[in-house]
Amino acid sequence: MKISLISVTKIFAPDIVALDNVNLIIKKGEFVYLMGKSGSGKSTLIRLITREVLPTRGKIVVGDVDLGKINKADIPFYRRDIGTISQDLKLIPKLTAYENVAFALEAMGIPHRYVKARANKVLDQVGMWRRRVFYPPQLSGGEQQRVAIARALAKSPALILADEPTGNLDAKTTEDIMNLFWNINASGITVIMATHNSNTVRDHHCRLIELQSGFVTRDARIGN
Amino acid sequence: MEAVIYVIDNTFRLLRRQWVLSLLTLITAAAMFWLLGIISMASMNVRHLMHKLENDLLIQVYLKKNADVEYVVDEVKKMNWVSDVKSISPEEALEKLEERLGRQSHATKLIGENPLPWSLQVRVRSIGDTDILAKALNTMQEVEDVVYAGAYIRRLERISYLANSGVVTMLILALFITSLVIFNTIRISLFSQKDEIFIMSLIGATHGYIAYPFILQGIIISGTGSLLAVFGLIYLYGSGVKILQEALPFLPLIVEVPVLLRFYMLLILFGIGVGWICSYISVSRYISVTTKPI
Repeated sequence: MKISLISVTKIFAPDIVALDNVNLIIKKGEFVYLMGKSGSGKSTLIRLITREVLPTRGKIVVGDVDLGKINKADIPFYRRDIGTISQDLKLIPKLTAYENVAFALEAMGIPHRYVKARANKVLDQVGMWRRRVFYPPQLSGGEQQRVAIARALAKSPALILADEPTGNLDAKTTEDIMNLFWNINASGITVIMATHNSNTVRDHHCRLIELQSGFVTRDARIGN
Repeated sequence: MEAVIYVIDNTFRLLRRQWVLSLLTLITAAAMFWLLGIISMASMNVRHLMHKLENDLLIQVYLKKNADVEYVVDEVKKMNWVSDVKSISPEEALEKLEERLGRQSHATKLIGENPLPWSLQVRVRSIGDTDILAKALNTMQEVEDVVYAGAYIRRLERISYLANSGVVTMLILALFITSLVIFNTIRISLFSQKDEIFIMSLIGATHGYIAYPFILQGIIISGTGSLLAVFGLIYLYGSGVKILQEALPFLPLIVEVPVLLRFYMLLILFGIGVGWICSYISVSRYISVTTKPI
């Protein structure tokens, strides 16, 4: 899924400039790191793509969809193509790992008979099938993150947006989770990952975009 | 089909999770609908009584000795408030008087010549027009006297007015209180589910999909409230009618089953409607505010 940000500026009231005249084109299948300190505009950029936030100026086009012109009724259908993973996970504690994934599919109106097969498949893909009947509070941080990834993957998205997905994890678990993201990207899904931790960035073939106070200060391809 | 199952399943999950609040809302709604039902039924009965009286109510018009009866009948028929006019000859009137006197009917013979004049029995179209019609009849040259149960009618009119005002007041009060409690119950439900709603909106659930369980929750609470109110009314009205019919057998009360059934159905539909509208407004407002892009 190709993403174009054309002269995008976002100013939060009263006058907090989160992004300033950002121009980016992210191609289909790319793995993009969004690097920067807290408050640099990484999360705002991600939220602009999910259309939780509207730009003050500029244009955002995701796939064929111009987010400035999209109908209100079409937003849910647009979001079905995007898997979002955040640092605070947003798993529902009263639902098991399986139910959290199934819930996402059911909310999209997918028939029950397909939900079971799909939920089990993605839980297996992230290595959580054996722990599927556990509730989030009974799982470790890494396991919870895997469930969140499974939930994002369940709807077969064309784009994964991950906002600090390894923020609370130890080095070993971060390594495992990053491998998961690489595998996801290898299957052709565009991945945009916001992180403030440079240790997360691997020497894989990917793109690194650095943000500072709302400006893009570096846009480079790294790795082999 | 899956969506329907999900909505029903989730609705009952919401009701179970907040069963105390749901129960309190249900009791409030039931009490309000019950009160509304009681006052509406009282008003319906007063109207029924008025209608009955309207049918039975006659204004007796006594004509002057040499009055042209046919002309007067034609003139009275032209009046807007009149539904029917019947002329009574002095002979007919005397016969009726003798009938009424029964064993003392021979007393009329003592008078000698029939003293009764030509008279008219005028049926009024609406009970509220009785006074004005009587006044209009009194102004006619050929009319000697007009007799009707004026004070009685005015009192009934007052009761009818009070009952109608009571229904309107109660309707507003029931609507306000029930709407308020249902609105707030749904709002609390929404807040308790705010994480789920956020996740659903982010993963691409339509607003309808998010909203239906909450709307159904409102409909179930309010609809069940009105159903309970109807059960209460059936019991109370049944026993009330029994007591009244024994004490005041001449009092015309509504006992026709189809009429009562129609009223009960209307009250249940009203309850469902109130629940639907309140929860719809509550959910729509919440979802549009929380999912509105910044």
